[in-house]
Amino acid sequence: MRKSPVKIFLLAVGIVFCSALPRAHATSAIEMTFADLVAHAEVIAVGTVTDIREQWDAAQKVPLTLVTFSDLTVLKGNPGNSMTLEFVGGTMPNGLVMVVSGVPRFAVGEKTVVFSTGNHQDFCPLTGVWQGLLRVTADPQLGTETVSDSAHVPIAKIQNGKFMKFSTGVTAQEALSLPDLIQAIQAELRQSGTHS
Amino acid sequence: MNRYVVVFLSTLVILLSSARGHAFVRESGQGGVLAFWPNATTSLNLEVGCPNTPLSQWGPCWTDAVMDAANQWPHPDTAFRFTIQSPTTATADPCGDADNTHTIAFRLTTCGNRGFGSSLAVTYFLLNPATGAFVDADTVFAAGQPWTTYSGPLQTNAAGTTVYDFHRVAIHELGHVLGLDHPDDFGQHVAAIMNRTVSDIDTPQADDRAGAHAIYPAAGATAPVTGVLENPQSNSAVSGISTVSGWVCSASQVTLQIDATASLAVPYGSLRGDTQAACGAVNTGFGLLVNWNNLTPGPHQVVVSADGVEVGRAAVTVASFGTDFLRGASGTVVVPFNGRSVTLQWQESLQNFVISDVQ
Repeated sequence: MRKSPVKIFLLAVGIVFCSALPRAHATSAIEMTFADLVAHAEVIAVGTVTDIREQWDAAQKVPLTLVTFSDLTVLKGNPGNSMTLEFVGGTMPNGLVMVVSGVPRFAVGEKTVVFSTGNHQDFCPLTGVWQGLLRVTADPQLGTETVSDSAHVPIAKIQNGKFMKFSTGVTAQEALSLPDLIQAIQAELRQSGTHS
Repeated sequence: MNRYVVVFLSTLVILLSSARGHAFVRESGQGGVLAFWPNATTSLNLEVGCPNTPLSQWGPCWTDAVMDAANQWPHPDTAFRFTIQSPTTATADPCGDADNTHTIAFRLTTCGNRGFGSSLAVTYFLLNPATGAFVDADTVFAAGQPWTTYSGPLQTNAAGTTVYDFHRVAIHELGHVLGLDHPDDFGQHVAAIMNRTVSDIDTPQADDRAGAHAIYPAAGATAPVTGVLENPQSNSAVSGISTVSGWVCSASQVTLQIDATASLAVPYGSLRGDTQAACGAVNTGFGLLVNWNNLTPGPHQVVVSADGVEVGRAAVTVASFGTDFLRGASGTVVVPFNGRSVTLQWQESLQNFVISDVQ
């Protein structure tokens, strides 16, 4: 679809503004570049959340939340047809709820791109905590699927190894498409010599 | 003036205004119940000890640095106070059962013997899912990281690796402990120590203080707002016409904002017998009908406030047929669900499908 000059201009302003933000590293997690994410992830897959359930780990005395992703398009690793990621947090036997600050939350039915590291080992099996989760939004009218970060902020493109994001004014057709993201991941895997 | 210059200036004003706006987000449990300390205080059990080389700032010990970090949060307009437990409970387990003590410790692993992954520090909290009242909160710092203390811009070592300032990370984690979440986890852009990325910001900012004040206002009644936004749930899809609903224990006015637009008054006071235990009252329900078709398809933020204090927020994704009200359409579709055959029928008044038969 042809973009108007004004839309293109706003797009450019948005990218310039976001690029001007100070360089930062995560408090609860170390900031990762796109190449870091691809390299450190043990599994990279596009999938839909089909089940969320809680389980009490009696041995370690922590509640766990198990999130199952199905209909996988696997880009790295070998998780099979579906995979279940294990997050610390959930309901305790006494009814209290344990919450871990900063860990993304999921909803059944949402489509995601997951970069996973340390499943069953780390408190959060997403590479770089929130950085390892991208959300996919479908536009049935346009027939497109675009990508947002874990906070639902649309991603415009990958530039200088980082996801360039927008805070306002991004329409579906301007955001990074899922096919383009997959292509970028595959290119990064080829460049790093890693195969799925 | 050139058209594009006008567009640029307008955009810049909007962006800068949003950067200055308050965007704090409160910690919440499942179902969106907002977290708070009922007595506006919690005790810190400091098990961080001292480094081999005394700290040059806020030292000599890690304990001193945490105490100074805790002192960054009190403010005349905020009732919340950290207290320091003395003597400390050296045997307290930061991952143990609820002990009403906020333990801060260095550990090689996080709770459940799980690894930190790429994380520097993790704060866990236990809360009552019905009321949001904190029962316990604990923070573990990754023992294997190159910690030090300094103020000002982020520093790197000779190898170009960031050296982490324990003091500002402690301020951030203590912000979680008092009930603040990451504003940028919810798509907000604001200068805040509570942003999920550590930056050159090394003290609580106006937005952080506004958040602490909103939870624990010093003037008048110090009881924080208790309530839950039940529908829509965060990270959910919405379509057609449905109700934004939930409950608030006590408020003069409940308002709804979608994508930080003008506030809409939400009818409040309907009967909710299930809130008797949490509120001591049952006329606590709120609800407002929303036609999601009025919004563009894609992600949106829904925020409900009571007397200006946020009750809950939900990130939703709107799906629509691209028109405000689809007229004249009809039809049914049969889908397998939960082992049954379910018939969905289009209902124009709801702009949605309803279950008309289950076989």
